[in-house]
Amino acid sequence: MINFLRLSLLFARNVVNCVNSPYVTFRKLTEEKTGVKQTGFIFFFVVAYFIFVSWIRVPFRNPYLLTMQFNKLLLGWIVGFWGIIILLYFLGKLVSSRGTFRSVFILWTWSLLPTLTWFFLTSFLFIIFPPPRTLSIWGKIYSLVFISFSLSLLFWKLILYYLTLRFAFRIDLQKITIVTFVVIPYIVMYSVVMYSLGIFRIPFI
Amino acid sequence: MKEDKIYKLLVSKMQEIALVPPQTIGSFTPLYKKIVPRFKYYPWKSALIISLASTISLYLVLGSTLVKIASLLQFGF
Repeated sequence: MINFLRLSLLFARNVVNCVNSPYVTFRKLTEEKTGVKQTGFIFFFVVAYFIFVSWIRVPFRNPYLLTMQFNKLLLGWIVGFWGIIILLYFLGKLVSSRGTFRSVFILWTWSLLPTLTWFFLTSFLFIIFPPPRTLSIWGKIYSLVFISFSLSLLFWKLILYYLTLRFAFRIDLQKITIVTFVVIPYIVMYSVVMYSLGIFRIPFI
Repeated sequence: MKEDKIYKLLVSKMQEIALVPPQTIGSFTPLYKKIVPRFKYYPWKSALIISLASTISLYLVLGSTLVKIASLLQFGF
């Protein structure tokens, strides 16, 4: 129990630090012994999000339909999550002799924080202020705030993506750019498949 | 000596350099070194300013289409 509390506090501190000083935090995460254990909290929030969003998306409170929706989302996410980790690992190994699967796994899992924040907040906002937005002054202000907040989180995600490759493989900007050019088509392909299967409209990565 | 603050600072800096080699991008290195610290500590300040400026610019270019994009994104979860 004390260990769990200690781990929770460590996780909470790292979350705050990922917002305020992501560079130092990601560097520490590659060295921290409890790094893998802390990712458990992120997976907990991912599963909690899928349960929550299944409840919003399915119009009828039918346990069968809710379970189907949840399984579909979880499976779609698992494919993308492990697919990207394996791809990053092999690409990283091609451009650098350093780096371990463990560090890619930990850092990529931590880079899910902006994704989780965006999806959770967008789902809450969907309930509070359901779309579509109107062209009234309040509709425009809301749209501007929503797009700004989305762009800020995208910006945070890009920083964490960069730091994942930087600290997992200790590679420089040039090599990160090369890896990114290979990863982008994969992400586009994954997004198209997920969209056509009706699993994610915006990929959960 | 191990209690010396400067010594401790130097050791931590050495460890940081040992983990990742310093980034250089040719003639752009001074510019890179100037910009990057803004993203290392409190990046949300820069993120907020950049995203707000980008959104306003997008609104000036796209007009009410931006409202439609926001509506589409709201269905995106």
